[in-house]
Amino acid sequence: MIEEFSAWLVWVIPLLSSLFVPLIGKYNEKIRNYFVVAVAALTAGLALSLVPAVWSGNGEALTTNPISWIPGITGISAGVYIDPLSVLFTCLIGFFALVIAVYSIGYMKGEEGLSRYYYLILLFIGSMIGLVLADNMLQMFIFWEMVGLCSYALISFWYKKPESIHAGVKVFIMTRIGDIALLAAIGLLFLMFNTLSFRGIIAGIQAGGFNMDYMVAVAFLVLGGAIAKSAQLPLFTWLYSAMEAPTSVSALLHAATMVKAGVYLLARFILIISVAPAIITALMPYWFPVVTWIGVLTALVGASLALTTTDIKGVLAYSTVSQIGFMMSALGAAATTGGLIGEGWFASLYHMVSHAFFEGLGFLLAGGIIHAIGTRDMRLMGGLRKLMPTTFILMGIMIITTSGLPPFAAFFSKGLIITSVTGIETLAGLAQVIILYGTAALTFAYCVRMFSLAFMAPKTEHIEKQHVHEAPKVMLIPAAILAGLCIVWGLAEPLVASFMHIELAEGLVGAFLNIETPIFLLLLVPTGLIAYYTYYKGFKGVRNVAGTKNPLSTMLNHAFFFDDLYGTVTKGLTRFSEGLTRVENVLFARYPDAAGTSISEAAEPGKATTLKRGPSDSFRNYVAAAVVGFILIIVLIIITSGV
Amino acid sequence: MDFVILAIVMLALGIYGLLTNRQLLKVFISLELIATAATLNFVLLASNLNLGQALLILAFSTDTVLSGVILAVLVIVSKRYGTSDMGKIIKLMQEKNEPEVDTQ
Repeated sequence: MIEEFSAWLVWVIPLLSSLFVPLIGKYNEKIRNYFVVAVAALTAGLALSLVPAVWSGNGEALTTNPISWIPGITGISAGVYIDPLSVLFTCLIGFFALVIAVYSIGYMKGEEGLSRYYYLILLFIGSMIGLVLADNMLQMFIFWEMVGLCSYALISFWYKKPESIHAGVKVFIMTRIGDIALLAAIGLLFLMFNTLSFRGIIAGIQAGGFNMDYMVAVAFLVLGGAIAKSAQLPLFTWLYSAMEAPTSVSALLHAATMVKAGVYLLARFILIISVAPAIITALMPYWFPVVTWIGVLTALVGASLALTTTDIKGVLAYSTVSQIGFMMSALGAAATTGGLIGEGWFASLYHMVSHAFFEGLGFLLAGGIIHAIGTRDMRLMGGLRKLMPTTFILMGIMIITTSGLPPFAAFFSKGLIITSVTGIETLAGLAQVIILYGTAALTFAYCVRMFSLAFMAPKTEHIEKQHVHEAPKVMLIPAAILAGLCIVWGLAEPLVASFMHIELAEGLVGAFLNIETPIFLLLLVPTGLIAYYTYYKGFKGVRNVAGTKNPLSTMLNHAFFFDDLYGTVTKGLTRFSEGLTRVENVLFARYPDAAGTSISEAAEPGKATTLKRGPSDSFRNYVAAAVVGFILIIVLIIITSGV
Repeated sequence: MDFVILAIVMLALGIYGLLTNRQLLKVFISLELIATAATLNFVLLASNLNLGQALLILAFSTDTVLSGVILAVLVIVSKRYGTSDMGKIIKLMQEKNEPEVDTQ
């Protein structure tokens, strides 16, 4: 089948061509850049070619022929899984690959080590598409790890800056916690079904061959994997640190790859378990509410932190944390509204795409601003409205979309999320809806704040000192395309629903006439006004409160103490290991170099004498210990072999 | 079962080594201990499968390649900072007065 070929090629081509990037880069740098753009365009084209077959299908996965991967073990194969969910992600990633490849030509101009950069970008894109198209858990896990590796390498791209190395390592370690959980889930699934392919697992579930306790454990472990990868509470702090990355990487990471992997995993998992109503019923009382609560609380925490950070990329990072919280809360409501997978599931994926458009747009524009004035601190910006008019207009569209004002994309997607959470109809569900409304209001406030500080406020000395110029065309055109999509995407809702084969309760007009729309818009007024007067008109009220020492501002300035908590844990671990070392030193005091001098120190010419004189005794001891150990092993062998 | 206990003991020793040592080479040896413990478990659990034994060769060769890369990195790091003590290296990194990489 032709779709199967394109589904293979769409991730194999970026992965293979990434190998050629350094070779071409050696020959000619310009050709290398165009090569990357061409590969990205090809990827996007191949991704789009998957759409018709899926659209005309019945919403199930197309039949494909997995290749036996490890001959001899049944249940482990390699293949592609083509269904609306995976194709939606593939198209989004392919499109963003093209956008970022073009944008990078302008943004990364004149940087060192660009061959490495482009190599990693292509590898990143290839592995993310491989992740969403994989037809079994093992293949997905391999790409899951590759995505983590690429994001680590790209975040610490400027490896000479200590902060970016630190950020890269932090990302790697924190996401690793989720990887372990996912690996455990995969192990449990293999134990139950003797296969790792999605089809096999679905067939196994339908046949009833599962253990409910195991299934619950799998659900929570999968959730753990998604939490770490998608930067949800309590593992969200890595996303803010990841802002040390080049802005083009941040845009890719937030819009299409990495953080969206967690959303994909949960959406896929819910789709798989939805074939057995028994599992859904068993998970209803605690798993789904936990997902919603994590999403709702993350949305609130992210939005309130975005309100306080002074880093323009930090605002966007926390905004992503908050928006993915929205998606998670809708996923938690997926089973409660109507049928098995209902509007909540669709709302989350629909919002995933609109978030990709407005967040990607925000990052591309922030990149242009950082490029022009050389700082990420919003307090040093101001007056950019006159200096960067095109960026100003595009950022205006981004602000309107992010805050969910009609008729742009997020109005429909966010509205759908809130509607689906409203459908939970329990007391907890009511609290969740109220928090979500509050978060939406906060979203508007941080958007207005960022906009005022960067564009409306009077020019600062920092701006006056330098000649600020508008971003080059090669950076503005991708941004303009994204802005266009921000406007159009909301109106495409019925099309997307028919592509995903989901029946929506209300159409586009219904979303406008909904009772929730006026409530939502009314809620935006007070927060918007406060932000407007504080940051645009320069009223001191809120700033004075924020400046004083009160519990709320302390909490916000410390990002709710999550990093401090992790710092305490690692410090405790360090103390523990130091204590162990001390105990060891006392116990093995006979060997003076047991934990003392390092090998390279001992090998330095000046210290060679100490090596000769001091530890010669210990050297003799080592030899003696080795001989004794050898004799003991021989004795043990003799005893156990029964000679 | 004995081998599982052996693997667990090796794992524990490896973790102990990671906790108490700050020399890069000793840390590396501890890591290798942990990896070997895992491999040992694979051997044991796949002992009734010829395929498991065959895949083990793959695991061993990957492990060897990894060790080569790690050792090369260790040599570069200890040359660059003049010490192989992790604590001292981290301190030197934080002071930001890093010497340029020796590209020999």
